[in-house]
Amino acid sequence: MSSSPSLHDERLVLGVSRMAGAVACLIILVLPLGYFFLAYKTQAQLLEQLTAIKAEEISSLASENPELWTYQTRRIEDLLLRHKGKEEGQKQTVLDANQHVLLSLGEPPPPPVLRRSYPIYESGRGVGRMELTQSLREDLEGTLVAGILGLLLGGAVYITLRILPLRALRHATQALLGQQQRFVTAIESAMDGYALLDTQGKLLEVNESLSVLTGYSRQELQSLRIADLGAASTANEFIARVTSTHHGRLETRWQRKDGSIIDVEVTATCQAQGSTEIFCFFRDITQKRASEELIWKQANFDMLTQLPNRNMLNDRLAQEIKKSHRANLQLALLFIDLDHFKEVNDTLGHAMGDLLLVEAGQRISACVRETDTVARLGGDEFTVILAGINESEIGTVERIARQILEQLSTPFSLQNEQAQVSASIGITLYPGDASTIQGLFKNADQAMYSAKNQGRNRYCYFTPA
Amino acid sequence: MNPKRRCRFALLDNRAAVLVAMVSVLLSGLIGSVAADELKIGGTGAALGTMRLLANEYSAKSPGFRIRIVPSLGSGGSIKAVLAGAIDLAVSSRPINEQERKLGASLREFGRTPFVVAVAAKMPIDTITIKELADIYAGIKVKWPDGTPIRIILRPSSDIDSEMIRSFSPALRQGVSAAEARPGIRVALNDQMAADDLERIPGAVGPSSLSLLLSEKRQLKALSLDGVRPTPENAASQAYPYSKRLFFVTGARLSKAVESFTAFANSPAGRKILVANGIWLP
Repeated sequence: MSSSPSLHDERLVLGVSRMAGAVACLIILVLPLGYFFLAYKTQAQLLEQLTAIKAEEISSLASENPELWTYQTRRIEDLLLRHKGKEEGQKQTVLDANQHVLLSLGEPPPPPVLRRSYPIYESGRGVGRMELTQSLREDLEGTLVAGILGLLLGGAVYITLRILPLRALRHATQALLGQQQRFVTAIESAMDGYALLDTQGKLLEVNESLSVLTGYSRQELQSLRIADLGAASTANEFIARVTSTHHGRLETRWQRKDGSIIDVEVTATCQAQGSTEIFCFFRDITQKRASEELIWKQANFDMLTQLPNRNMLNDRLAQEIKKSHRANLQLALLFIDLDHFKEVNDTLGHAMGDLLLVEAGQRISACVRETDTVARLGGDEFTVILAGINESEIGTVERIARQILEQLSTPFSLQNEQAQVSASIGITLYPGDASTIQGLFKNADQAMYSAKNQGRNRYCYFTPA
Repeated sequence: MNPKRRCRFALLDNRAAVLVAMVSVLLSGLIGSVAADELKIGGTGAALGTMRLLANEYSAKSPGFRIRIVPSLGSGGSIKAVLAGAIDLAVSSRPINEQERKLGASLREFGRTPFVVAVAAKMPIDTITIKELADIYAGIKVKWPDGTPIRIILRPSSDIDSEMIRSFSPALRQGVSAAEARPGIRVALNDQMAADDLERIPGAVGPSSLSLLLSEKRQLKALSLDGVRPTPENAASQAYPYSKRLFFVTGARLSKAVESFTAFANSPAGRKILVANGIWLP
């Protein structure tokens, strides 16, 4: 049996790895870039607002003293210091209308820098500029930290996204492989044969038991179709039925590689509509069927003469009554009792008696048509059903009765012994004498005793009392 | 005012009267020569009101002579302006530094005025202790006795008024720092703004100078500190130890108009105005 392809598909691993990598890269990039963007935007806005506020306040000062405001650097400084922004790394510069620096607070910030300026107005005229310069170094440091965090987070995300799904996949794969292994073990250790078929009946997978069952090697089996093992039409019909109904059971007969014939029970399942795979189990039922046949035979046939017994006779008589009833025909039931059989047993022994009974059965059978039934009820009693008799053929009954009398009265050669018996036959007709089995038996028995009473070796028809 | 001090002031007045008579004769000639000039004066807000009164008096005696008092420039600003020639005379509440001296600045102290803690004139309070003031600045004492919330008017930290308040006591030094750190405390950029705020804002208290209160006729009153009233006499006797020195600062080029005006300020007539407005002569 071949193993299924591994679920640990390299393409899946590659896909998961790529997805995890993409997400991780996104985090690694987005975190620092997002941080820098937000930090820069925030800083720029704050700096712009702060510059505007400071410029507005200096504008107020300039409006109060338009001619001399430029000398009030101390007050300008006080004003600037009232609105404390980011003191470290920030330089505040106030310029007059000629762009001369009136006041400069703070050291030049380390690059890179962000600069914002806002005009200082007096009565609507620009009389100077307020300028704030701020270092972006802290933002860059923060961006670096965010980058490191992003790297760590991205790595963690990569590990999480890659390892966890693949671990789950590996677990699932292992579970499936375990199940598969258990399935394979179960299949391989099964006494029954197993095969996976396609819808054409080709054997895709087989187990060792099937190989033993058929006598073919596994490789040989995998080159065969199921139809090659038995009746092709039966097999093809079975495959079609299973494909449409999803399951099926069949008892068929296969020819093994060595030419021997075996009876096989096939159980098949098709997973779903449209499935191209059929799971089949094959059981050798040759012995079972032989046992069943033996049991059936023991139940329905006399083991000594191999003639139908009372059970089979009742069954056939019931069937023949139905047929006759439907066809509006008659049947005759002949009750045959051997005369003087007891003496044979007493003088020659039961073994010889048994031989006589066997031959008597054969002689009676030789007198009737193939469609007629000869049965042994037990002891030295035989019964014959002559079915399908119409009005014009009623003489056939008597002819057969005479023939039987003649045959049974002929001496029997039993090994080295000779034996002589005769027969008394009671005849009753359906539906004239009776329409039920019990009635017919009763009538035939009564007629047989009439023949006995009349001196044996004769036949008598049933006559109502 | 004790009798001894009153006697000293009386003597001063007599001397001033003699001086006024002598200087007025001299000035009449000087004024005549600068009659067509314009004198631009700027400086500390503590003295601007007094300068305005001096200018009015001087202008009245010297028709055609025009004096313009520019809005408060502060001491530093006015020294810069006078060195740049933007104004003719600076009025400073601090001496010039070495750098300003090198640039040609020269100064003359023309008086001193008590540095005061002021409240609105209508406030039912006249005196305060240094400790109470420290508690106010520290935020411990937050209401006046009548229940009015106390509202501190701060000056910029680098301003001389802030430094003077700090010098009252170590507790006040800490209190001022605490007040500067508290949000929502109003900071007045110059003396006039501070005086405006003290008049306008209910329960306001803050630094000022007696000369400003008197010369500008502000609806403010100077509180006694630890029971001592901030009068020129108490300041002169050091009973009230907090006062501002007031200087005329001129640039390298000294105009006759400036000389004339400063001489007038130093004249008996000028000194009378100074004294009447809370400035005493050391």
